[in-house]
Amino acid sequence: MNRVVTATSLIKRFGALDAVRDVSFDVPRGSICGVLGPNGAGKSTTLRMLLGLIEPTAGRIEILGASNALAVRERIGFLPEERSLYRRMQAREAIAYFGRLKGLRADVARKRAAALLEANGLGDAASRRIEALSKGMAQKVQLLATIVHQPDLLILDEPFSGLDPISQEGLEALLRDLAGNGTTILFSTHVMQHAERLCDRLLMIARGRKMFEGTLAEARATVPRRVRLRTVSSTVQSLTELASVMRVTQEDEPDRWRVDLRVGSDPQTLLAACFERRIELLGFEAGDPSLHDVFLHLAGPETA
Amino acid sequence: MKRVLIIAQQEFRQFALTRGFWIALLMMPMLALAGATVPLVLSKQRATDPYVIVDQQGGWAEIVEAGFERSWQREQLRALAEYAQRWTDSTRMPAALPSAGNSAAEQLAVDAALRELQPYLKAGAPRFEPPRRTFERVALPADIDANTEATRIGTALGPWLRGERRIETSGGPRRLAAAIVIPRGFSAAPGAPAIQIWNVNVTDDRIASAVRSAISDALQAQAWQAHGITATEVNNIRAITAPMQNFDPGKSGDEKRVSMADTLARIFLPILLGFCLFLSIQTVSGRLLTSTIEERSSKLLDTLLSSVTPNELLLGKLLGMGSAGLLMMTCWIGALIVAILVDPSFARGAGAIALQAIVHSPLLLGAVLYYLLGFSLYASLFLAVGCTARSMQEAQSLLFPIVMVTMVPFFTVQPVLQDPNGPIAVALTWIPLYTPYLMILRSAASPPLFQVIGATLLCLVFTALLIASLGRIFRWSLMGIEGRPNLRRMIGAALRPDTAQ
Repeated sequence: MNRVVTATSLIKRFGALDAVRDVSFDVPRGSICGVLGPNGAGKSTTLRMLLGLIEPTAGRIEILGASNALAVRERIGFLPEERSLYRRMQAREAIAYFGRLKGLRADVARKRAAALLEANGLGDAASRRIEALSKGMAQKVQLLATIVHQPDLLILDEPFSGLDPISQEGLEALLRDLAGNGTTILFSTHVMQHAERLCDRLLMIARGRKMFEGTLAEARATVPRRVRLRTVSSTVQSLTELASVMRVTQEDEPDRWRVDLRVGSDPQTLLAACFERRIELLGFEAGDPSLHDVFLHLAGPETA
Repeated sequence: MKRVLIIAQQEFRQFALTRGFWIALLMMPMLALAGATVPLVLSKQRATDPYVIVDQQGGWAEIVEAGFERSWQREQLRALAEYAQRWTDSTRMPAALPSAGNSAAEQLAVDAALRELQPYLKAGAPRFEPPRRTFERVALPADIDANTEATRIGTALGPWLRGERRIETSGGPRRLAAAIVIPRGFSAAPGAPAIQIWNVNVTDDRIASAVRSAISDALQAQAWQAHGITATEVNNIRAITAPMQNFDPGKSGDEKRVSMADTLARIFLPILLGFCLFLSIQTVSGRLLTSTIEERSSKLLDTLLSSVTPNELLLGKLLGMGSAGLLMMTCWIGALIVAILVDPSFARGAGAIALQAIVHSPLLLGAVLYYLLGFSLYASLFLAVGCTARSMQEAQSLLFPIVMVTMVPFFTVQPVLQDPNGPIAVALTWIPLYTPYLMILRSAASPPLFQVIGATLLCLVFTALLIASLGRIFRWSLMGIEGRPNLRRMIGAALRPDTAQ
């Protein structure tokens, strides 16, 4: 696997507080990797360590082949959680400024800034000062400032916070486009739905510890599958004896059952077992567990 | 270095876009202009103050009036001298023309002096307008008895002095400015009744001074006369002053005599440049502090620091804001030079001497060099606070001891100027925080070369170390400080070894 980021045994302590505890993970090239976890889980601290904004107490980081993000800063784009730009700068000027800091020539930075604004529906706002833009527009401008130098790795800290649903969809589309063009994206979020829709790789953190790392399918596989059955004259006993069943719970009505399968078991196996035991089925509903379920299962309900 | 320059350019532009920058830039020239013109305008606008004299002793009222008259004539001659300087052709002027302080000219009537000037006036010269009289004697109100006891007269004039009643003057009814009561039995003898000056505005002692001066002169003349010396002889004796010239063996060239330009260079110029340095450093450093705190609290720093190193960012800020401060100083000194060049009367007098002193003084170059050094030093201190504080409240508690320390040179200006190579001046020169100011204040007095080089080098090293440690302080503060930051912890962070630069 061609890795863009490799973090090994990262630890970060702030005095007596263990913010990040022995976290290791990889980010493959070209992937969209979501760092998931509730507020205070250590997501931002982990990203800031990757960027060299804070030093790890212990552990090793390799980012785009370098041990220090500043050595490869021209290939990285970073959008912090709290958005801020120079209020008196014009939108185009702000994007070009950050492009120049990332190594672009002044004329190239200005051209790209204008093109990005135009392409993202902000052409009219190019000459307006940041303080005169709406919050959503300013956030968009900051994102454009983050990608103006066409980074290989884009790190976004809670990029969806504060955005309205339409802007969130627009951002998702933009991130998919960037990933489609080969940019590796690593973003943190505590909203599982964004990760579910976007990510092909996940890192789950709770209380500073890594809970999971892998693909979405692998994440779902960690949770026992749940099937809802509607049967004619079954008993708990008869259903519990079926292959791959871990637990059976009767729901509100006498013929309705919630069946938790053993980890790694497929609902199809249960369906086949039902047919084999000639259990009359009036309903069979097998759904994928949500990332929220996965997270609760891995980290425990108290972390949510 | 490229990133440092980009940040410097950005900082400069951001500061130049603020109102504060333009206010600071224009403030000094405006204040200088106001300082030069407002008193002049006010003096022209000022109405003549009416006063009454009650002379119960007899003979003194005329002496007081004559004193006021002489004082007004001097004012007229001074105004006439300024008028002549501005509106006459100096190349054709004879040497002895009226000027203030010229005793011969003082004796000329103003009309006669004006007639003398007529042939030398430039085309288009306006008519000479003499200054208004400062004081005008008015009659005692009819319902007050001039023969009653002195204090009663003053008390009775209360309504006129307080403005409750108006007194008739040549310019219409006005509030009475003062009442002078010379009581019966007044003399210079011990225990004799004193002259009473009644005046609501006790801070305005112009009338009291004029009366004291006129009557003291008369009393002294009487005393001299009692010893057989005439008033003219007294005046001639009083006019005697010891001829004296100052020489400076350290002055370059053959001319060792200390001129007015030298005096300006040694006293006013260092004060002016020191003040400009202080003002621009405070203005620019203050802005540096607030912008850094804003960037820190708004997390803009995170974005910046993912693109540049802390040292690049801090150096860029220092460079950008230092340039803004230098521009300010240039504009202020430039405005002074322009004012001197534009105003021909100023250019011929003290202005020309000041200009000469500025242009030819090594202080100008020194001021630029020590400005850069002083700015780097003080701005680094402010920047260290800006890096550390998460809010203006935190910054204020950190700044207080720093500002107190930076104020020290201002309490030492007088002793340093009086004795530029004395122990106080020398001791302060070797303290890096004060070296830039002290070198500017002392440089006109030619301090020993080893002190100049040694103290400057020490200051340079101190500043370089401070700038180098800024990055460490910055990184330490970004790690997330627990509790309130304080100077002890800042210094600890500055001394901590750091490899990630």
